[in-house]
Amino acid sequence: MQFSFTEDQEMIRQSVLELVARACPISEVRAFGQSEAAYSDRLWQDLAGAGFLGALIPEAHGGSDLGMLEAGIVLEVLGGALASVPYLSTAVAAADLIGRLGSEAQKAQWLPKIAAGQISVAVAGWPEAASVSDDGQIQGNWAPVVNAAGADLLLVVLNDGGTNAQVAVLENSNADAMVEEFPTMDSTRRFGALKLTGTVGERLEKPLDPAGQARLGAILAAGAAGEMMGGAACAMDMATSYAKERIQFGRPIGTFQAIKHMLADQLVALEGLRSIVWYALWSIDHAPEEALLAAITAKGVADKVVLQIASENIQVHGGSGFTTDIDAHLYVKRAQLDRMIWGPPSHHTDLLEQRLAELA
Amino acid sequence: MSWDVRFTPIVLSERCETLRGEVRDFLTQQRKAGIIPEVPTRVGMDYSADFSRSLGERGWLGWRWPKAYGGHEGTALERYVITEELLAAGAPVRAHWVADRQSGPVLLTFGSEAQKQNYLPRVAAGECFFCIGLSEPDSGSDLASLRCRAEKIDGGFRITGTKLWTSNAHRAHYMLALFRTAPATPENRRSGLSQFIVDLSTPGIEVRPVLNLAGEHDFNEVHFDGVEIPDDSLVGTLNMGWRQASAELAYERSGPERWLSTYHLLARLVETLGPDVSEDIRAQIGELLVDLVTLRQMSLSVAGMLEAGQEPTVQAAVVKEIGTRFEQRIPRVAHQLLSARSDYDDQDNTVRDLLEHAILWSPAFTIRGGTTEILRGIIARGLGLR
Repeated sequence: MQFSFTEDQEMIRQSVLELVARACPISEVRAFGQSEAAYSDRLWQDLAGAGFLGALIPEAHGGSDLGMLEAGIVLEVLGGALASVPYLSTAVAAADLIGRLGSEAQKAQWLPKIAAGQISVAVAGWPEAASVSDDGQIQGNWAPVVNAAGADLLLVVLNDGGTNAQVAVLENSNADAMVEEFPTMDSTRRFGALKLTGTVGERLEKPLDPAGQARLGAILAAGAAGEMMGGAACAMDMATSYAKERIQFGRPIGTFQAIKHMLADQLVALEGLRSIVWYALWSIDHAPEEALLAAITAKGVADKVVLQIASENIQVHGGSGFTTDIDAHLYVKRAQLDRMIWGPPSHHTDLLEQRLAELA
Repeated sequence: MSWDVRFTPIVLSERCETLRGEVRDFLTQQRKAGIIPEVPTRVGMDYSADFSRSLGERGWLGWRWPKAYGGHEGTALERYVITEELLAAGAPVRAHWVADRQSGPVLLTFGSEAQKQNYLPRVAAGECFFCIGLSEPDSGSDLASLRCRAEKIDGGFRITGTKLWTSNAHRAHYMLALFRTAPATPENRRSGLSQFIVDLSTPGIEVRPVLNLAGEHDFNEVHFDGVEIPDDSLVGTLNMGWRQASAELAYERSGPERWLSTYHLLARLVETLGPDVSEDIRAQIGELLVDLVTLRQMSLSVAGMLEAGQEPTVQAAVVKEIGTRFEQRIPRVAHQLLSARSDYDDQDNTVRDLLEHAILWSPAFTIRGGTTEILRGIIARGLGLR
């Protein structure tokens, strides 16, 4: 396989970078942490206006029908900017699920609103199982769920142990669905705890078959890894710039091997991560049978590499890295939460072991 | 061998173990009285001037110092046992910690008779707290480049400049600070530095908070805008402060606070996982305990060398290098083991809170008191590599 970005894809990257620089500078990220907002609405509207919220939505439903790699480019830039928007759950996972499993009416009801930035969606239930009674009542707890409290719509994957899963669509105003704020150390995003005690809600028309479950798993894991990769690259950039600027013992600290080797190791780790993340995102549409394996590998690598780079950024900055005056702490805190969502690391390695056993 | 870095093995005396029992009894009472939390939800040391005073009343501060200065003429190993028990219990020892650990010993070694009489009895009583004035905005690892200056004036010195990362400056009475009193020479950039005691209530001193990563106020930035201090603030010999401050660091780098910061989390982890755990978890906990016991022996050994009047600079660096990485490993392992087991009992969220606080504080361990990179340089020099 030969892989490089097309001119169009590079233009998308450039366009998202400009949009983020305008609507989501770091001052905005800090202000978000002090605010009560569910997500950064200004950035959300700008993303909608530029067509990026409809990246996976057909033009017939108001989307721009771009593709998974293009969505990955958006995620990478958003992750680097520590952006406070539920892009992965809404514009990637929910758009894909509704587009594939929804009835014509469901698609017509939700997809144009996603593309236009009128609603945000939280996705819960992967990989946990919830219990569903014969008459369709759902019982279960999920936490932390990105954007659960602020979402207009909740998609809950219901796997009763059979071959096919169902996807429940719940409006967040549903009285039986209890969503509480789930406080975390990550001030760049909001998380919620979702508790369902007998909610019925509606279902997407088609069931989520094993191939669909693998696709959803791949989308969430690879998408999260893409976002994390963007954060790691920015944290590394911060560390590298500081190592060139900060003078101790009469020279920049980046000239000391303890620091320069640390940064060289970061680049080696980051490039490895990049390779597997882009491969995973590419495989979702082009080599679906490999996508889940590639995606959980990408997320597993990201869990390790991103936290390492973000933590070392603090070490390179010394005392100032351990303050809230500079932004190194935001990357570490976000990385800590990223490890816990879209499947914790142990889940990924379990899945990986399963797949390797199948291959052997 | 072309190098000689030894850790002399230590066996604690019966007197040490009796003392340990006394400290534990006292801590049990304090726990019952609600002064020490039954269930810790934070790592590190909390601040309580009252608790420090009660330790002074019990006679557990200034442990090694002469009785003439309010001390108790005990041994370094006995002091080690006291501090180890206080930290393991999560006692709020922050207020007196620096004064008892390093400022007091510096004054005892280098201070004038009047300084010893003035400060040491109050420190030993748990009534007088110090902070450390070493780092500056442009002088962190490269401490000798510091620029905060003390100019000679009639009857004293005038201080101008900024100190940074001064934990507790907002609550301490005095700063034991290193200032530039003469330009460095081309041959020796460590010359021209002097140690001073600064009364923090002196006019012209501004203490500004610097919030740490956990959002807490511990650090400060301390500005001296032409602050005038009297002649008798000088500690030891003018322009010989570097050697004095270096001696201070041996005390700072090898104590139990360099490997016990996240000990509570380890204890709570073992308790939470319960006796019924897999081989794999047992092995991971076992590995942590192997390191804990080893570190404790090494750290004790440094206390023994200090007792014997040696200067175990390299050994202290080794203890801090390993100890702080061990402190960082505990939250990592705890996070991994607990997230793999979502059903553990944590009704009141105390395990989660403690883990989160440990994760937030972890980056500081390998920065404060000398970064890991600087320590490795010291260790390599101990091997003769320059």
